[in-house]
Amino acid sequence: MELTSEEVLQLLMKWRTRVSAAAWTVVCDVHAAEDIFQNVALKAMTKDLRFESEAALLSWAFVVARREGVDWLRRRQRETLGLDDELLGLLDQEWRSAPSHPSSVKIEALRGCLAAAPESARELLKLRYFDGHSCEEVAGRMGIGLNAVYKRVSRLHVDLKRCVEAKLAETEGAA
Amino acid sequence: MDTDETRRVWILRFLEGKVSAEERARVVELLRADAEARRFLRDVAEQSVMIADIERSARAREAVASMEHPGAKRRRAVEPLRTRASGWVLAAVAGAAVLAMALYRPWRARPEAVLTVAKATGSSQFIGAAGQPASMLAAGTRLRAGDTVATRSCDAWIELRLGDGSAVTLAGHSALRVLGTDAGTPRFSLLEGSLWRSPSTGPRTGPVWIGTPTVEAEMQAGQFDVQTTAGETKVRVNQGSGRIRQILDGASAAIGPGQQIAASLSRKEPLASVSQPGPIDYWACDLWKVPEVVLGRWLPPTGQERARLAADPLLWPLGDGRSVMLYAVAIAAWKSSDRPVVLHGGSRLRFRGRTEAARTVRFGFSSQRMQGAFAGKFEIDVPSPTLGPAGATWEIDLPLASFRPLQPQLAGSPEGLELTDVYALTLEEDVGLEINHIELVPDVP
Repeated sequence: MELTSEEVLQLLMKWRTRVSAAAWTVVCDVHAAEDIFQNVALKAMTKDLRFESEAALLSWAFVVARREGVDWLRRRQRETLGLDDELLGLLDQEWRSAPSHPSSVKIEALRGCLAAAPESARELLKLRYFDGHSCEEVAGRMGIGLNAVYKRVSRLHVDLKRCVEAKLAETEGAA
Repeated sequence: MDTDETRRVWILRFLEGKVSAEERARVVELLRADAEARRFLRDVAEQSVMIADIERSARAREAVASMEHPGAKRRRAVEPLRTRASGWVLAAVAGAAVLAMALYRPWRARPEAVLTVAKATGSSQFIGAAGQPASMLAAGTRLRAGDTVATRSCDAWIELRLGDGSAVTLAGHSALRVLGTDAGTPRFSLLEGSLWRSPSTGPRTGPVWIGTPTVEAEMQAGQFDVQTTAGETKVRVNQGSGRIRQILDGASAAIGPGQQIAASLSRKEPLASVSQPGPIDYWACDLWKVPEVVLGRWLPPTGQERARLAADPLLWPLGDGRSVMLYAVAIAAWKSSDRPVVLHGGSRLRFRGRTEAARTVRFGFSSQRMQGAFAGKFEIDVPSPTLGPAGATWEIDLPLASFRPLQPQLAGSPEGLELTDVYALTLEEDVGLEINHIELVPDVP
């Protein structure tokens, strides 16, 4: 049975983080990735598309997000990272099959983890991902070495993942 | 640094493009072979977009809170950010507004209506501020801050009435979000597509404020239209005046009757209003310059063809619960020309393309009145024997006079209309339709 418009919108919002992340792996720009997600959602709602199942919707959404990312790069005459369709498709498949929580729940968990992290860690991540500075520029602004920035970002990602998983497990345990 | 951390740092450098060609190949191979490496990449991607979401929500809440605080200095909900990403601020805040509505309780009582739907033609969509969608938009629906309306096909439009009696008409394939009012001035966000503003027949036509992904337009009374995509906006004024501010760098310019302003994220020229150019009757779509594709996907170039746009599937409703699968290529002609493209009855549309199997191909175009609303679609079916053998490239000239009008009540002929979208499609079966070139050729007198 076809998904209704309301179900399509609810499912897209539930998977918003992963679809946006799929776009980010192509464009490496969080604002472009957000814009691409909005375009995917608009297309799903306004292009007279029909989806038989959540799996069909997600399969379509990941492919469209990836394609929009390539178009975005092409319009700006930027090169892709070099992740070919096969590898991007593998990433999409792993996203679709990995255990998932609604985007809103994960964002709340990450918000809590960031609040508990040192101010310098939050500033580093904001500079790198929201303001779009390179690690080299972040190193200059924060007065630390470039390698130190890479290591800190690497460890922050690992620590935040552990923290978010722990919070999600607590939520499930409480529920 | 342990091996795992070494690999993670490699991946982070790869994501920034700070690796040599040899290192890039090694990282790609690592990602292909190592599930843990791919898991880290996915974690980085998810966390980066979530970090941005959290930052945007925080800024949107700050902006809203400062608007609500009594006595606070009045300022717009969109606060321009002088960051590298400033070109996307409006889209980001609009996205944050949608996210805020989806995640948080409504932060104030139901706001007052800003405009009313006077007429909705064709397939349209309404998404209320709380995220509830409705697939049919009825005349008389009152729209408030946070509501979004969208048209779902090129032959749909929505006529909206403001409090002063003036009208805003939303064109096909367009989406508009109501932001509310500021000192009595209605404020909208045109997310994609086009709209026209027509003056009131009453004593006074008030100002409006329109934001797009690229500009903020403060428009005084009069008649104007706005066309926008994610990276470009064009404003054309026929009556009245306004001021356009480019979000990317804060530059602004006045605009008056007979003038237009085009603002693009990739444009390097200073923002300036210029006289509206006259229409042209010859148009060639250089596909290799990557025009605005409404439907289709790019294929790698070959030795013979630099640009190959392949048909994408589209389920088209026929009514009564029935639908048909189309495989279509569609280009937004108005977005790939600096001047309006005028149609004449004696002109021809030239297509070059191919199919992998012999099938009838339907060719078509949509039109609008010059400086006006949708004026109809025109189509013609070309049987496979006319196109030639399957797999071979064909080039076909189609006189516009031979296209049948799908909405004859709007226009029986394309004479004098403006070209908007051009498309080609096959019905029900994917036969590998590919388009390489499209051209509008006027009749030689």
